[in-house]
Amino acid sequence: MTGVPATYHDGQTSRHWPVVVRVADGLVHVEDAGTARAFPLAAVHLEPRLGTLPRRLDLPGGASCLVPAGFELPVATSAPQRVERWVNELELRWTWAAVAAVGVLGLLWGGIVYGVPAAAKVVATRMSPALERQMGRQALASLDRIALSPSKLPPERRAALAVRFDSLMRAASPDADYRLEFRASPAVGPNAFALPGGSVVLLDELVKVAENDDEIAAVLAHEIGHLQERHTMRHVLQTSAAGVLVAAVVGDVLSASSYAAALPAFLLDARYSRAFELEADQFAFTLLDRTGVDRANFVRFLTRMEKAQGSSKTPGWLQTHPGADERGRAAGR
Amino acid sequence: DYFRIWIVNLLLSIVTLGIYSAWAKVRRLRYFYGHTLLDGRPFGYHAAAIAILKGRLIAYAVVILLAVLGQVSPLMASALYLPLLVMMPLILVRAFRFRAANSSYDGIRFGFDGLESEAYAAFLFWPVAVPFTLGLAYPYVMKRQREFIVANSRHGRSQFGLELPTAKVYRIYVLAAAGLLAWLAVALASFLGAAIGGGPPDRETVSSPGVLLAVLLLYAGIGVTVVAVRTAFENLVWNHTRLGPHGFESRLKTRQLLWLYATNVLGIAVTIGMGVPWARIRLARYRAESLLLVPGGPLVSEALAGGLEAAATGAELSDAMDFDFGV
Repeated sequence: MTGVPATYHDGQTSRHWPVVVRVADGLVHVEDAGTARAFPLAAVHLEPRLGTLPRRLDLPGGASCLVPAGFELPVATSAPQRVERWVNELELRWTWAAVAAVGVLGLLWGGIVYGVPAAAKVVATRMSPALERQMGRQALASLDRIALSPSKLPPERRAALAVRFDSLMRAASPDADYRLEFRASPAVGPNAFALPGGSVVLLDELVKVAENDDEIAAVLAHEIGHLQERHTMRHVLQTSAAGVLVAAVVGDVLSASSYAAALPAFLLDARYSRAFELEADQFAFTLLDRTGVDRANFVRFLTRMEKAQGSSKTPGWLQTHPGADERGRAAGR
Repeated sequence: DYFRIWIVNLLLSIVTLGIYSAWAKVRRLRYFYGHTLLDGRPFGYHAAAIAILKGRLIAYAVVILLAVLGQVSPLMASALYLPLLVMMPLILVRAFRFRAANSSYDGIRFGFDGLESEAYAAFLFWPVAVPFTLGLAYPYVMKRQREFIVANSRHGRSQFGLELPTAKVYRIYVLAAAGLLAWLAVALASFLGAAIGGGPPDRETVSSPGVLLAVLLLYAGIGVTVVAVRTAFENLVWNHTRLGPHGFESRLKTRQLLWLYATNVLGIAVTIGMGVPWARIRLARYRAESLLLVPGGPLVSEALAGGLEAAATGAELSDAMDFDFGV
C-alpha cells in the first residue's frame, strides 16, 4: 500500500510536522524525513469517517496523526464502527438526506397530530382523580382571588339550573360526579368553563345573555363534555409532550431565543384546544339529543356570543376556539 | 453538507428512541470542532459516545422522575429538587471536566481543574445570596462564575487566566437596566395611550391592537437587552482571557447577532425546522470569525500527563436540564 500524507502530533508538545502513513505487514508505518515508526494495527485507533474531515489516527503513547478522510485501516472493525461507517455512507448522499428529511417531518407531523393526543388520552384516563380534583380546587381558588366574585343570581334560579345540570350529568354517565359552581365576573363576561376534577363554573353574565334555559343547558352539556373527556389533563399532557418533540428537532438553536420557541408551542396549543372544543361540541350534541333538547340552541347561543364580541378578525389557526359557523356546520351533520 | 449529517443523525436518533442520539452528538461536535480552525489547524473532540449515552440515560431518568413526581405530588418533587440543587455544582464541575478533557488542539487535550468547593461558592452560595442584596450582587456572581470556569481551564500545561474588572461588568448591567427601564416607559406609554383611546376598560380593550403592540414592544425590548448583555459580557470575558502569554480579542456585535438570531428563527420557521443546520453553521461561523487569538509568542503547549478520564453524567445532566436535546 502506498503511503498517504498526514500531520503528526507527538501528544507531548504542540509541535507538528508532515509525515507519510502507510500500512504494511500488519503494521502502521509513520515516516518522516529522519525517522520511521511502526505500530501494530491492534494498538492504533482511527476515528470514524465524518464527511470530508481529516481523521485522527491515535497512536500508542498519546501521539496521533491527522490522516485524509479516505484513509482506511485493513482491519476488521467493531460493530459500533461498522454502524458509523454505514451512517457516513448515508450522510454522503443527498437522496438519503431527502429520505431522512421526509421521514423526520412525517414522524414529527404524525406524532403531533396523532401520536401525542392518543398517548395523552391513555395517560389522562389513568391519572388519579384525586390529583385532578386538587388541580381544580387550586385553579378555582386562584380564579376567585383574581377574577371572580360571588354569584348574584337568586337562590331559586340557581337551584333550577343545578337541577338541569344534574339531569344532564346523569344522562352523560351514571357514575359521573360533577358540581356546578355559580360565580359572576363582569371582566370575563358571558362565559362558562370546566375545571379539572369535575367542576363547571357558570358566570351570571352568561345566564343573562341566554334567551332560555335550553341554551344554558347546551353550554353546560359542552362543559360536561370537557370534564367527561378529561380535556384539561389531556391538554396539559399534550402541550408538554409536543413541546419536547419540537425541542428534539429544533433544539438548542431556538432555545437561544426562547420566545421564538414559544411561538410553535402556542400554535400547537391553539390547535389542540380547537380539537378539544369540537370534541366537547360533539359530546354536547349527543347529550342534548338524548335529553330531548334541540341542538340548534347551542348554535344559536354561540352565534349570538360571537356577534356580541364582534366577529374576530384573528385567523382561525391562531384561535383557541373554532368559529361559530364551523361549529354550527358540525351540528348539522 | 452539514444538513445531510444533521438530518440522517436526527432520523436515526428518533427511530432508535434516542439511543443513537449520543453518537449523533459526538458526530455533531466533531463536525463543528473539526471545522473550527486556529492557525489553520482544527480542534478535536474525543468523547466516547457510550459515556455520553450512560450520562443521558441517567439524566433522562432524573428528569422523567421529577416530571412524574411533579404531576403526582408536587411536594415530593420539590423535596427531590433540593438535593439536586445541592448537587448542581458537583454536576457542573464534572460537566466542565468532561468537556475539557475530551477537547483537543494540536494533539493536546484541554483540561479543567476547578475545585468542587469553589464551585459551591460560585454556583450555589452566591446565586442564593443574590436576592438578599436586592439583585445588586448579580453582576458580581456572573463574574465569579465565569472566572471559575475560565481560570481553571488549561490546554495541556498552559493555564487559562481570567480576571474580569468588576467595574466593567457592572457597567454592562447598569446600562442594560437603564435601557430596559426607558423602554418599559415607552411600552407603558403606548399601553396607556391604548387604554385611553379605547374608552373604558372593558373586554374590547384587552384585545385592542395598542395593547398587543405594547406587549410586543416589551418582549422585543427584553430580547434585545438579553442579547446585548450577553454580547457585551462575552466580549469582555474573551478580551480579558489569557492563555500563557497569549490574549484574545472578541468582536461580537449585538446588531449582527440580533440579525442572525432573527433571520435564523425566520429561516427555521419557513422551512418547518429543516433550516436548523443552516442556522447553526451561520452562528458558529460568526462566533469563530469574531474571535481572534492575539499571540504573545509562539503557539506552544505541552501536555500534562494523566487526568484524562471524566464521566459524562455531569455534562449530560446539565444538558438535559437545559433541554438541549439537539442533535
